[in-house]
Amino acid sequence: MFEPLYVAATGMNVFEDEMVDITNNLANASTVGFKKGRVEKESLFTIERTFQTELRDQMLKQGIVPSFGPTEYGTGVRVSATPKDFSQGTMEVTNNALDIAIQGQGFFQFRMPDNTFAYGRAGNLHIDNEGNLADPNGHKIEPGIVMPEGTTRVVIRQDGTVSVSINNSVETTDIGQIALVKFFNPAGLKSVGQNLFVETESSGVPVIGVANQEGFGSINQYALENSNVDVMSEMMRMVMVQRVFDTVSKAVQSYDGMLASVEKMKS
Amino acid sequence: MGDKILEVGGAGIESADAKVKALMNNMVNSETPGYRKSDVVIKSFPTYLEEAQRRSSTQVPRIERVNYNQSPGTLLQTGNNTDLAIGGEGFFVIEMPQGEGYTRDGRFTLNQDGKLVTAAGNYPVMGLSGPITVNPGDEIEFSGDGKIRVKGVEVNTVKIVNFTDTSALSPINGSTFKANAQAEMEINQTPRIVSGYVEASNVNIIEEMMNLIYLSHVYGLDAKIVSNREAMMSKAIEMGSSGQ
Repeated sequence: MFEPLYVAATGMNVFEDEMVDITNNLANASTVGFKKGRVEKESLFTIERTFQTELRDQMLKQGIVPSFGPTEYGTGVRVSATPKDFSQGTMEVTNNALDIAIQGQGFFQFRMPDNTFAYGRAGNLHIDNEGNLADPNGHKIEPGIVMPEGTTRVVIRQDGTVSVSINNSVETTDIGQIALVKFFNPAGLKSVGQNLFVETESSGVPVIGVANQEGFGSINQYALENSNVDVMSEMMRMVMVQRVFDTVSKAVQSYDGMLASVEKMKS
Repeated sequence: MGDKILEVGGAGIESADAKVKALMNNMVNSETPGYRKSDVVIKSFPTYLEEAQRRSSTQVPRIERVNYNQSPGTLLQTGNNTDLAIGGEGFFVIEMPQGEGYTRDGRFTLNQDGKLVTAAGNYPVMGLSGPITVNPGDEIEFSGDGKIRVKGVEVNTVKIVNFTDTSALSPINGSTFKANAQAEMEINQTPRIVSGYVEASNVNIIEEMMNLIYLSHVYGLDAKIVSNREAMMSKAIEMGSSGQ
């Protein structure tokens, strides 16, 4: 009894989750290095064991072809996965020498406070009070790059080599190379906030390399990778989800009315 | 129930309820890629067996079967090259714990082992020469005839099967089906594959809403039949209770 209501509830839950995903995407439409989320929906398993199906099976076993077919009802919908879409975001040119963007599939590697690693595409780097190259939240890039005292100019080449000139000297010194990592299945990465991701079983283990190697992409200085959220298509999705949600809630009201008419049967 | 009219009313409500059940499931899955719309088929059935031979007998509605509508949905662009849609008829073949599954839901991804799997359930997708696998990290390309290329080298072909009678398929969920013993299946030699698109659900939410309006009236009328009959019967009982 009341199955339509349970089915509707599964749908409303899913549409609510999808709305959360859309609003999160929209809120991060101008976040550097943000990757949009997708909600993959899946219809739930059908209920097979009605009496009629049971009867049909028994009849078929006895060699009688029944005149009626199987009755299998669906039981709703659920979210099967919420992968991230790692397609390339647009490049924005900036005036900051420590803004770098990856063109390709690689990730920067950062050391977290608990000495584990996190990976991100946001290249808006900073120098902390000890001269370490770090992200805006102070997570140092790994392997670490330390800016010598008196650095006046920083050049980061396409392969990630960092050269500096000290006290306006014409000569530059190489102080390190920014490493990149890649994953076989980036969609399996887990988002941990602050534009960072951590590896999971389904993402596979990170492969460490440097820029310009196959599959890692190149590093571009004076550029930032914008969010890959397409505001237009997110708005379209929002309109659709909202409409389906409304229609389902209308259907629930309507079914409620039907149940009321059954209730009124006995005066 | 011994009363024919009550029985007609009751069966009417029951069948309308089954229709609402399928309808609600269609509605919540109207945005699920690859979902196939389900319909409850109702057939009239004589109330009593001995009446069946007579020309005019009381007929009650009975649920005949639940049918899954295999008409194609529209294509949605996703831009993800492992998302596939089938042009024309046919199904993708996926390897499930219950055996082979058939679906038109083409949301696929490459997993950490380089296997092409479904986004809904992580089941491997079959090609003509076994499950579709590439070296982890390699770019995969699909051409319009289902050929799979890695770095320009053809490695496999997407397996698409056609069924002569899709009613021989029974659902595992609303978009994945398994074949019955009677199913006749053949491999589509000239499939048409569209990469970067998925097939949307074939549910038309306007049609579902219209059906719901209609069903709510069926429900109300059947409830009316029962309540009127009930009133008549209580009148009859009153008549019998000699003037008290």
